[in-house]
Amino acid sequence: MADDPYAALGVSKTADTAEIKKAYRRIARTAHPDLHPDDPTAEARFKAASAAYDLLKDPEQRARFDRGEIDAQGAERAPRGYYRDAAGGRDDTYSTRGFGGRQAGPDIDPDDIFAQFSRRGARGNPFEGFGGFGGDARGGRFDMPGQDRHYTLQLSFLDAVRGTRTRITLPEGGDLAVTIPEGAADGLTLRLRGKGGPGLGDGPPGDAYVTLSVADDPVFSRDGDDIRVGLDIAIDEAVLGAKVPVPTIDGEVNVTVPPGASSGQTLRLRGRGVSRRGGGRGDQLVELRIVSPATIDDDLKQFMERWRREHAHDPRQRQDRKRKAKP
Amino acid sequence: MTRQYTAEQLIEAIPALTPDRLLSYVHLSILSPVQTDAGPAYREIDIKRVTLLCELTDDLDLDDNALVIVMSLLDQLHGTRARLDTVMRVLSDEPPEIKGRIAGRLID
Repeated sequence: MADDPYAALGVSKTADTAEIKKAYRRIARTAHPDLHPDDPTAEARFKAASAAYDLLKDPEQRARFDRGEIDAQGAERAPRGYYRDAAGGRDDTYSTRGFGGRQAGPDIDPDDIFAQFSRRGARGNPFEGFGGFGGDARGGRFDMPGQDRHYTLQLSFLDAVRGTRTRITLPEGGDLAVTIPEGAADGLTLRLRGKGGPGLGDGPPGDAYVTLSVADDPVFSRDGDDIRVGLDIAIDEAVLGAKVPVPTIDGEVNVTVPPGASSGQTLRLRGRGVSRRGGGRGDQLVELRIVSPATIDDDLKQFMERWRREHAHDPRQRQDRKRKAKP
Repeated sequence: MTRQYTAEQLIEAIPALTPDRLLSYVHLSILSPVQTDAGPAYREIDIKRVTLLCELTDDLDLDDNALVIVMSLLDQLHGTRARLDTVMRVLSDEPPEIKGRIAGRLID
């Protein structure tokens, strides 16, 4: 059936119930397959009209269709959602909604922050602060600052953490060099002064805003300035302790697993995390996961059976004690 | 990371969108895909934005110039609103005497 029941009946959206009924009867008269056995298109027209009439004859259904809650087949339709639902939110890279953020530096002058919000601020009215519509408009001179441009750049996890130099493609062709600072976080917006659209006349060019979208990494994840990784260790390494290679954002390093390590235990590698603004680095947190061998051979089985007989040990006892200690 | 769509999936998802139209919106800098190693990618917010752009084009008959101006104003409005929300959130964390003083100044 057609997506527009009004069109199927040939009536306007404002038609009243009587008009709709009349339109349906007219089509039923001229298109009923049984009344027009030789017209191959009659059946389709008749079906469309009767489905449309079924929907529109009920004022409540018709109102729901008009509001977009159900489709022409009467099926519930997902609410369509409007741009304003997402605008101004975390993913809105089109509007300038921050207050300078990272670029503001450690010594923030409150007046600078307030100025960004005021009409006299540089970002407020583009016609203020540099002479407005300068020159003689009748002489054909017209000054206007260029448009700000907004871009979103997706980076790999490691590029974002280590910092890199890359280029973004401009819609009009060509590209623009972007320096990603070390430790760049997902959602960070970089402002490239004067790299937006060209100004008119003596107007300055606009700025380019590049918002970073950091892709997930299969190995590393980020927790503030700290990097988290999981490290699989064998049973013998857990019991006896071991030196095991572990990936860090600077490459592989050896980490000492203490004897008697458990799954979930976290080792801290100081200074192996993300660079902080103003110097220093976070840590890397390595979470141990004990992994049993894929096949348990007879040796291991026999050893474990003997060990269990002679050294009964119930790790859940500690859990039970904790639970009882709690009121 | 939010879900991403290719240009083809975007065109598939929005009936009024054609490849030419998508190209034109990007050229006008009123739509900006995420730049990835695999080429341009679009997010949920871009689907909603393109739906709005198509409606402004088709239903309101806006030409390219008008479309650029409307979107620029709209983005400024949303940016300003988001900043105002931030200011209000920050103010609401302040102690009552500071909130009272600011409220007093606002109705002056």
